[in-house]
Amino acid sequence: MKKLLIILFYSSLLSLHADWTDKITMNGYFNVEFEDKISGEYDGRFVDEHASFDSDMLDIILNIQVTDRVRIAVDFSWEHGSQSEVDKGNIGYEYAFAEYTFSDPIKIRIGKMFTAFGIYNEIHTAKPSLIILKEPNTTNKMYFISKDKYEQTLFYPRWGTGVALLGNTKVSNIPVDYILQVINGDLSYGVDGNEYNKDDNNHKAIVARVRADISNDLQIGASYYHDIMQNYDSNDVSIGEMEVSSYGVQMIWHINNDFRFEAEYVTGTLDVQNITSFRRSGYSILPSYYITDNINLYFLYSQADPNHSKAQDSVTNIAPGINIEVDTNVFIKVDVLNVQSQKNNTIYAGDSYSEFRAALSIGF
Amino acid sequence: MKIFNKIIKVLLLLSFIIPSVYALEKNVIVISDNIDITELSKSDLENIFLGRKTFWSHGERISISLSSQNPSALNQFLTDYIGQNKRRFKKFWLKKVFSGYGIAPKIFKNNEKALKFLKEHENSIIYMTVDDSQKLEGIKLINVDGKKYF
Repeated sequence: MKKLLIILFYSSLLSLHADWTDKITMNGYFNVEFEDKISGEYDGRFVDEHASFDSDMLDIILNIQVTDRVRIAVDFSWEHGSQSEVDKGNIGYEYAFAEYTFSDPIKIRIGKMFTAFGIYNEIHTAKPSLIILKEPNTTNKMYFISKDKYEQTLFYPRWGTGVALLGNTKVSNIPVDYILQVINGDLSYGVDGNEYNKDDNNHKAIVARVRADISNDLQIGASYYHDIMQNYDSNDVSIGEMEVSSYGVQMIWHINNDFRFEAEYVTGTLDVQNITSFRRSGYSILPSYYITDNINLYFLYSQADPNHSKAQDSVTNIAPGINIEVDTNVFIKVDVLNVQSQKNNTIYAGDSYSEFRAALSIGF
Repeated sequence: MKIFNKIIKVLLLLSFIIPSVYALEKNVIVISDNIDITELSKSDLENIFLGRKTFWSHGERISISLSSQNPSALNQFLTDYIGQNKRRFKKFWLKKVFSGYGIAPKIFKNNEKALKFLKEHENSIIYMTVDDSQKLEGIKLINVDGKKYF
């Protein structure tokens, strides 16, 4: 009897194991970076003067296929050498959502998600899937472009908690995918709150993106973001509302198997009640070329104007680089980032600098 | 004339030997026994392997796999039938998985492993290459635009 029970116990464990391994898929990535300033006048907080290594990211993605129609996706991340004992780095999840598929054209999601805007935001941490070393600051990180309280507000937040309707279909025989998100939106930059847990206003942010594969080699897309946030003074007292509207267009073109071109343009307005209102814009262009099957040369050119009402405040980033796949999904990337600014820019004030950067990115 | 005869003999001999040494490899698409279809179009294949079509007609979720036993044939299949070479196909799925839009296809090193997976899992579709010498018994091949071997 005891033997029978032991056999039953182990066979139940084995069947449980088989069930779980069938239902759960694990992927992820690892990224380490090195940065060193090599020239230029700027010596502020965005440049690395001391040749530093950055234990950038360890990331584990789990896809749990609960049923044929229900999927839970989680992206756990450990950033910048996470060490909670000494309060260093960052531990979190990039997304954790449940998705129900009615059909390929109609799926719904609920949970925390990347904001589905443009080319880069949904893969900004996933370095093995990027040709470049880091996503362009000019469309993704306005706090690298301006230190003005309002100008540094992002075109769209990195993440949002809420619901989404998404899917893919064909329109006139052209494959199209879309996503519409209703999320809590962002809190004002620097405000100490948790928008993934509790919004501080009744307005929900709306995100929409449509992409069309015009041919096997050409994809175009458009994105939209809108939110109304609370604006706080230095004592955390609300002093009105601020409305963010952003619009983006994007293109990825495989000119042939080796030559690729991608570009993105984002513009929008920020209206801060009783204080300021302005338009801003940013763009990036990225031609890349495979000189062998695993060596990809690229040239990133990007620019942002954080406030169209102010003259001479733009920032330009230029990053020529090389991306080598040394083994399957193992990439070494090297580039030289050159940052140039105009004289009225609030961070760089006309200064420029160049930085040598290298990274090891591994996807699995 | 003697030299001409010798050349003919050698050519005849080679015509028997070469095909058996370098048996011609062909692409095939294999599906699980429980899936009740016999034909897919090139467009269906593209939609399935790019994750645009994720359910069979009776509502079962499609599980995608590829055998890379013949890497150059796989690259040619992806280029001709899916519209992306192997490098682009890999990048496409890396982005899709990391950004939360799907589960990547399994890529097996050889047909043996791919077929073992097929036997253990329902609702699967597998790309592989086979040569004339291989016996394909007990597996379900489907036609792609009217051809079982393409």
